[in-house]
Amino acid sequence: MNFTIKSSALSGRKAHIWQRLSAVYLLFYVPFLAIVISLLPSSVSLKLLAYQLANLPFSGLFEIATLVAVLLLVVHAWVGVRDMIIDYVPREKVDLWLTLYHSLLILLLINSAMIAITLFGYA
Amino acid sequence: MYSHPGNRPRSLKISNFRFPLNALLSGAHRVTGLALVISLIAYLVLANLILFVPSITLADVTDCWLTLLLHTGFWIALTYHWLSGLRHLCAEHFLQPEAYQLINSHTVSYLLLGTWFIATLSIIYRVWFS
Repeated sequence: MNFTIKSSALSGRKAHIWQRLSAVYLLFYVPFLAIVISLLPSSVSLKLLAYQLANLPFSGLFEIATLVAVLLLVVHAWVGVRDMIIDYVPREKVDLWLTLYHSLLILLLINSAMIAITLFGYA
Repeated sequence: MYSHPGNRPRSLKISNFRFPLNALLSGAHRVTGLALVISLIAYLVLANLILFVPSITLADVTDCWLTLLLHTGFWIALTYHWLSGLRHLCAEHFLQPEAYQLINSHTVSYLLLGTWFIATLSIIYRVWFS
């Protein structure tokens, strides 16, 4: 399996559409997240925090909205930093940096899933 | 990726250029985007430490100045990115000349900066003093 990202194979149009779609979703999600965080009482542990989140009156909606937000956030972060790499990194190093950044995002996604499973297993 | 075709003198020193306000705001949108990616990595590191290192608890890190600095930086960057992102979306959606000029006007630029400044003060107050 080849994990190398080639800048020549990337599409600007598709990236732009995904960037806009994710931006519109996150435009509404971010204030929603800020309201939920401001409503939470202070916690002594992450497990208790997860328990409090799971027991909010609108927790089902929050969980689904957050799951979609995390996926779209990864897409948004990929396109945004990808464009910065293409614009500012010297041409001969672009593919290397794109591959490194792509791998980092996959690792972050796996780690986030691991944390969510660990936390909400207790909730 | 831009590659200059000629042999004209070029300067790689960014301070040699005088950018218009909208270019600076657009550049700041990129900078805050990068800052948000970095702060999300920092939040994940923090979550991993709390969950998987038994000697570190949420109570330990909650009042630590580094965590407060992370919260401050994250929310300030997020507020700016959200506001300028909204402006970018509007500029791409409302393409009629009058609307487009209004969205890109100095008034809207200063309105964005003013809103961000007020939000920044309230974030600093909320994170550090409440």
